[in-house]
Amino acid sequence: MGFQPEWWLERFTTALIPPGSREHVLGDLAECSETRGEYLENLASALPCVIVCHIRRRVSKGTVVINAIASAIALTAATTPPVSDSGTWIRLLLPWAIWNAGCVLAAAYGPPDKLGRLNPSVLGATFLVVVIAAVLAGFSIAAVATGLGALIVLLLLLNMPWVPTEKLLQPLSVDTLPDQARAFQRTIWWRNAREIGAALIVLTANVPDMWRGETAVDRLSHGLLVAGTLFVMGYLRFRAGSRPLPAGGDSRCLLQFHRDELVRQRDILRDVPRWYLLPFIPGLLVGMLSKLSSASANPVAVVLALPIVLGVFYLIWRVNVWAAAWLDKQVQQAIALEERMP
Amino acid sequence: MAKRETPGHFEQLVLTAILSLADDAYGVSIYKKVKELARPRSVSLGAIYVTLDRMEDKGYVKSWLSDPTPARGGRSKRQYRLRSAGERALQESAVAARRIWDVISDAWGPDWSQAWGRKLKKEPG
Repeated sequence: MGFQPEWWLERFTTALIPPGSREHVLGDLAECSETRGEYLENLASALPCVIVCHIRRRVSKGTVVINAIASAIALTAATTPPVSDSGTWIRLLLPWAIWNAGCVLAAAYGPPDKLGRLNPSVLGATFLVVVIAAVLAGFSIAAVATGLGALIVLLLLLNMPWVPTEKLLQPLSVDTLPDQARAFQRTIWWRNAREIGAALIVLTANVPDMWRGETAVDRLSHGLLVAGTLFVMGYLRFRAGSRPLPAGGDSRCLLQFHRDELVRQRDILRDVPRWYLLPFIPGLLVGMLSKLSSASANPVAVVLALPIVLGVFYLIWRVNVWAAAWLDKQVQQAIALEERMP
Repeated sequence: MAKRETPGHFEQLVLTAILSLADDAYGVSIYKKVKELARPRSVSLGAIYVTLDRMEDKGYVKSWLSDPTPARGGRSKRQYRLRSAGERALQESAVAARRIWDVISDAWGPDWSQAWGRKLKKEPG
């Protein structure tokens, strides 16, 4: 045994090392150091590398891009008056960068056994630092806290419904089939609940403007957005909803039901551009035309919004393609199990 | 055709260290062995962690946590072992190194490494 660190030093080191590597890195640091100075030197050399390893393992590029876009929208929407000049954009850059770096660290320090989970302490500390940075940059504390608070609630809501997927990740067998079929239906129910919740927010924001809009084109754009949202809600309710498991059937009957459900949901995800994205396009296009024709609007900002919206749509489509491919693998597992059954 | 990855110089050192340490390959022992192999260049513990992590992703090595030992204050070790892909990569690297060695020996004579070793001793670091 090399150096035995004092309790405070060990506690400090424990807090700095991501939980997934704590056990062996603490042992390695103690074993290869003779003095406190050497221990701290080894810690300083190893810590950034250990954090990088955890970021590589736990953070996907897609998540970083989605978080960057969502936080940019939340911070821009929360700052009043709306961001208009380049100086305001530059002042927002620091809180935005801190938020995104903090989220990456929160993922790196998440629980080792749950890959998608964030570390709540790191996330909370990031929130505080971002609010302080935003206040120092001259933004209202309430506005920034509200914007980021909404973003955190959204992140938690997105994380929560996917908890049952841990069961879905087990290999499909006759023993795990009832649990997996139940978990799959629960996941679908949660997805639809989340989407309906988001749709209600869109309706709340747009329905009043169907009457209060400044021009007929403006009112039409809100009306089209409401119609698109209602279509998506209807589709989720009547075509993409969860279904109860067959009661009293044997394993073969349950497996057939589960396989059919996997196929149905896979096809629904593949069809996302038609039923989930297309209904919003008319409202968004008319809305852009309405903004461009308005005398007070900044045409550059309106035109810049188009690639952002298209980028978000592209990401939604890619995520659904990925999810459909994952469901397809589940379908293949179900077929293989069906063939093995007596 | 899929791109075939070859281990970098530092990865070759780490693979060699794991091979030589056999059942005793873990963070600190690999670090000490690589330090010895990489002389006169200095090596950090962090670089070993990053390389081991990357090589685990590439399928060159596998790792597991050992039981806690009193020798490390009750802490476990993360132990490493070569997978067949790692052994194959190391063999290919060794064959390539051997070819380079032969070419250099032909050009500079068979005693070039001893002369180079003496030069390194005179100019440490």
